[in-house]
Amino acid sequence: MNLQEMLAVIEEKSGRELNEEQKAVVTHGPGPLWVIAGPGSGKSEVLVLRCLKLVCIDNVTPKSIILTTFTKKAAKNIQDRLAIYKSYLDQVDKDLRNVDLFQVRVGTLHSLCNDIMQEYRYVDYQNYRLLDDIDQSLFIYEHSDLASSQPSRHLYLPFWRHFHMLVGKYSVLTGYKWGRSQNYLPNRWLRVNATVSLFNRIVQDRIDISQMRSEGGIWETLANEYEAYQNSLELNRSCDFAHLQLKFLCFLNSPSGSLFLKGDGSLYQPGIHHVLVDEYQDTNPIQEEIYLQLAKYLRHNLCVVGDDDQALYRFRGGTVDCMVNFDSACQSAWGDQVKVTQRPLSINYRSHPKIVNWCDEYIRSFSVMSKPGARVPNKSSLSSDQYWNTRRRSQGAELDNYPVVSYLVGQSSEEVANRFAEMVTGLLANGIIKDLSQCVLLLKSTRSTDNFAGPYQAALEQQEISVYNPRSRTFLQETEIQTALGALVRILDPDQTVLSRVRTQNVRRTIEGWTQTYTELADRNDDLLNYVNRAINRIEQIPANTTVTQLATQGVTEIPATIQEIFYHMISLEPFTTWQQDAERTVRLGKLSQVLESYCLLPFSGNEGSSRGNLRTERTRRGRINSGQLNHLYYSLVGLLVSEGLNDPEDEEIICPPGQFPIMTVHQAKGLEFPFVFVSNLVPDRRVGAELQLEDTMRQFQTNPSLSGLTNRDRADQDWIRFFYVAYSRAIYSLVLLTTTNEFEKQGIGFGGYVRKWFTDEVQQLT
Amino acid sequence: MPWQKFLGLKVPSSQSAFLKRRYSVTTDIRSFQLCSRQYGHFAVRGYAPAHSVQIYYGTLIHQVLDRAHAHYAGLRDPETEGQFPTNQDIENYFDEVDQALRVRGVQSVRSSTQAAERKAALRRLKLFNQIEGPELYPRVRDTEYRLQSDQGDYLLYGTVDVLADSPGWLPGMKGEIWDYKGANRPEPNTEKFHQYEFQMLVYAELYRERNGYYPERAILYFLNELDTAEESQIRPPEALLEVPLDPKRIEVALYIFKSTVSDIEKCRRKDEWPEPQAELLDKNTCDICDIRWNCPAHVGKYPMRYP
Ligand code: SF4
Repeated sequence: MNLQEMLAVIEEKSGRELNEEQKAVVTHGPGPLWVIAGPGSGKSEVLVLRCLKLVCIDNVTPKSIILTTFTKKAAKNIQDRLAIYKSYLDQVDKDLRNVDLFQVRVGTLHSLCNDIMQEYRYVDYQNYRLLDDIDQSLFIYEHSDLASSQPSRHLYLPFWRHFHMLVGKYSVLTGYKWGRSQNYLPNRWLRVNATVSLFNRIVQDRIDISQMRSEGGIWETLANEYEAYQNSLELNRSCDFAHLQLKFLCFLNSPSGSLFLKGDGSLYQPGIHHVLVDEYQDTNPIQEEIYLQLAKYLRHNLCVVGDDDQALYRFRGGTVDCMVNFDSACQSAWGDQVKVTQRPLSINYRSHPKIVNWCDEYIRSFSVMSKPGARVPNKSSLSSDQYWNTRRRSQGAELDNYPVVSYLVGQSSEEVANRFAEMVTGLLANGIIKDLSQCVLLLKSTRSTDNFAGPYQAALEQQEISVYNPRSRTFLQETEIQTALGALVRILDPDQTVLSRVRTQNVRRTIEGWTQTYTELADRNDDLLNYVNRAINRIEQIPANTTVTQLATQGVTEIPATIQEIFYHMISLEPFTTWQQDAERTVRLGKLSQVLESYCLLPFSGNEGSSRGNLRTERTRRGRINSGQLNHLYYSLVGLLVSEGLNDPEDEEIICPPGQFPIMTVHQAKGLEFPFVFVSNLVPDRRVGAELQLEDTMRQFQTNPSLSGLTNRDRADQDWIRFFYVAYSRAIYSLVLLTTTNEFEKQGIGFGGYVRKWFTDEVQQLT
Repeated sequence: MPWQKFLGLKVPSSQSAFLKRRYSVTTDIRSFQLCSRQYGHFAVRGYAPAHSVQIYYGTLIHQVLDRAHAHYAGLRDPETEGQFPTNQDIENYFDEVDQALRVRGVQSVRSSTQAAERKAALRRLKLFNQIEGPELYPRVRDTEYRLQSDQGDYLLYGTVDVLADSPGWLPGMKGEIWDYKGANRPEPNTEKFHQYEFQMLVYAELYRERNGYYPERAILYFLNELDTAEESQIRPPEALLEVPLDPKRIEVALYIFKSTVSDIEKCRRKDEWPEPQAELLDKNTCDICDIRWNCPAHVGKYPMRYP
C-alpha cells in the first residue's frame, strides 16, 4: 500500500478529507517537526495518521515509536483510533495484518516512564511505590523538617518569610491569613503545600542543587531539605511524579536505557526511532529534556504538536516557553545544523465561523500577546471551515439566525445565575438542545462557594436541573463519608480524650461534626452501634504497648488490625449496605477507602517498612489507642482533608452523564467541545500568582534557563488571556458570556483587550 | 426571555464518543470468573483492598526468575552473559527483591509462617534454577512478553512470563510461552485447572494474532511441586504442564472468554455484581476477601471480628 492509497481508504471511511496543512504533517519526512495547531484543527487525528503512515507505509517498527498525550483518556482515544483505522487498512491490504500496532508506545509521559522502566527492570525504580498527590502531601507532612510540628523558628521563620508567596494565604484550618510580619511559623498544612510546590519545582525546572546551596542562607536550607526529602523517598522506596521523570532521565543514561534508545538490531530491541508529542504547550523543562533525549539518536524524529495560545498548566510547572522556543531547544541540544520544520494547522473545524473569528480577534486584541516570546513567531490566523454550515446541517443542525456569541448581564451574581438557569430550561424545553449534557458552564473554580459554582448550582437546581459537578469539593459533607469517619473516630478515641486536646479548632469541629452524624445514624442502626461498641470493648482489653492484632480465619493466625480493616467491617453493616446500592454513594465510599489506604501505607519517619495504618495501644496504658497515633491521624489526614477538601470520584469513561448539566473548570474542559458554552468569572484577579513568582526566583539556579524577556506582569496577563481563549474555543454553536453589571463595567480580561464598543459590536446582549 | 433568540437554532443529538474498554486476561477476566462481587467492588467501584498480601509470594518468584533470565542474558551486567546463575546469585536476587517488597510493606498473608514461607520460596527458586536453568535460559527470547488484541468493542491484553525458542528449532521460529505459578498443580477437572488452561489458550490465540501462527507449546510451571525434587534434583512430573493447543479448544476458550466479557458488560449496565454459586466459591479468595463479612455466599460463616 502506498501513502495515497492509505489516505484514500481513511478518507473514504471517515468521510473527511485532509486539508493541505494536515497532509503536510502526516507525510513529513525525517527530522524535527514543530506543529502549531489551533483549537479544533484536528491535531490528534493528524498525529494518529502520522503514526499509521510511519508503521504501515514507512515500515517503522511499531515498538520504536513513542506517542505521548496529556491525559490517560486521550491516550486510550488515540489507541482506539489507531485500532479502528488499522482495521480499515487490513481489509484492503492483507500484508498489514501481521503488523502489531499495539506495540506503539502510547500513553501519558508519566505512564510511559513507569512502563518502560518496569519493562527494563530498572533497579532504581522496580518495587518503588508511586506516590500520588495525596500520598506525596502526607509523606512530606511526615518526613520533611520544613513541614514538621516543632521546627526551629530561628531557622525557618526567615525561610518562610522569603517564600511568603507560597504561605501568605488564608488557611481554612486556622481561619486567618499568615503574613510576613508574623512572629510565628505558618500553619503546618500551608507549609506542607508550599513544600510540595518547592520540591516539585526543583525537579521540574531542573534546578542545580549545588549551585543553590552555595548561595547560602535560605537557599542552602532549601537545598538541604530537598536532599533530605530525596533520601527519605529512597529509604522508603517511594517515588513522586516529579521524581518519576527524574529517574527516567537517569534510566536513559544507564546501560539498559541506552539499549532501549539505540536497540540491538533485533526485533525485540528496535530502539526508539520516532517520538510524537501531543499538547506540547504544557510541557515543563524536565519533560522537554526527556523528549530531546528520546530523540537524541538517529535523525531526531521528534514531532511536537500544540498550541501556545492554549497553555494552561503553569501551576504544574508547565511553561509555554518550550512550545514557543522549540526550534532553538532542538538546535542547542543537537547542533545548529539541525533543521526544524514548522507547520501550522490553522483551520478550525469545530466552531461556528463567528466563534472562530471571535476567538482569533480576542487573542489578538491584547498588545501583551504581541510581545516577543508570547506566541510562536509568525503565527498564522485561525480560519474557519468554509463548509462548516453545510457539514453541520448535514448532521441535522438547524442554523437560522441566532446570537452565536452573546452575553447575559445581571445586577448580582444571583440574578445572572437565575437568568442563566431559566435560559437553560428554555433551551431544553424548546428543543434547541436535545440534552443538558450538550451545554457546559466553565468557571475558574468549581467549588460550591458564592464566588464560583455556588449560585449557578443553586439556580439550576431550583429549576429542577440535575447538575454534574464532581469537583465541587463537597465530598466531606456527604452523609456516608461523615458516618464512616465518625464511627472510626468513635472506635479509636471513644470518649474523645485525644480529640478534645486537638488545638486546631477547625479540625476538632469537623471531627465532632462527623461523630455527631454517626451518633444520629447509629440511633437508628443497631448493628452499626453494636459493632462500634464491641470494638471499643475489645480495645479496652488489650494490654499496653501492643500492636493490635486480629485473630483470623482458617490458616491465618493473626494479622495487624488496621484502620482499613475496621472500615471494611463497618461498611458491611446497615446503613452502609443500603448506601452501597446507590451508584454515587458507593463510589464515594470506594474513594474513601483509597484515601484511608494512602494514609495506612504511610511509613513512619525513621522506620522503613512500617505503616501508619497498624494500630497500637498506649505505651503505658492498657485499652487505649496510642495518642501519638491518633494525634497524627487528626492533624495529618484530617488536616489534609479539611484544608484541601476532596473531590468526588470521576468516571474515567464519560465526560458528563446524559440528563445532567456539567459545571467544569477550564482545565477540565481542555480538549473537549460542547454545543453550548457558558463562561463566567470574566474579571480575574490579575495579581501575579505564587507559581510565577516562584518560577522567577528559581530561574537563577536553572540548568537551562529560558531567555524570554517577558515580565511577571506580562506573563500573568498572558496566562489569563490563554485561559479564556481555551474556554471560548470549546464552543461549537453558541458561546454565552455571563457577567454582572459590575464586572461588565470593569471590562476585565475576559472581555477582550479592545474598548467596549468593539465588544458590544461583536457580542450580542441577551435580554 | 434570552432563550427565545435561539429559536432559529436546533442542535442535533451528540454522538457520545465511547472509548473501548480494556480487559486483561488475568486482572479482569480471571478475577471476574473467580468472583464477580469482589471484581465489581475493587475493579469497578474503586474500593482499595486492605491488604496487598496476596501478591507477595507471586511477585517474589516472578521477579527472582526474571533476574535469573536477565543474568544469563547479560542484561543487568554484560559480564554475566552466557553464565548460569549460581545458588548464591539466586539468594542475592531473592534478598534484593524480598528487601524491596518489605520496605514497601508488601508482606506475606500469614505473618506467623512468613519465615518458613520465605525459606520454601528460596528453596524452590534454587531448584528451578538448577533443574530448568541450563536447558531453558539459553532459549529465552523475551520475558514479560506483552500481547494485545482488538476485539472490536474492546481491547484484550495479557502478559506471558517467558517467550522461548522451542528446543531444536531455529531461533526466531514458532516458540513457546511459559507461565510461572506460585502454587501446586491443581487436580485435573477442577475449576482451577480449567482456568489455568483457559488462560494459556487465550494467550495462544493472542500470540497467533500477533505472529500469524500459534506457539509451538504452552507451558504452565507449578513451582510448589518442586518440593519433592530436593533429593533427586529431577523435575517432578507434576511441575510442568503442557497445555495442548488444539484449535478447537482454543475456540472454546475464546468463546468462554467472550461470554465472560459480555457478562461483565451486563453487570456493569445494571451495576449489580452477584456472588458466585456455592460450588464455584474459591476458599482461598474468600478467606482474605475484604467484603466477606456480609457476603450473601457465606451468611454466618465469617463472624464479625473486632479490632
Ligand atoms: S467473600 Fe468470596 S464470594 Fe464473597 S465477595 Fe468475597 S470473594 Fe466473593
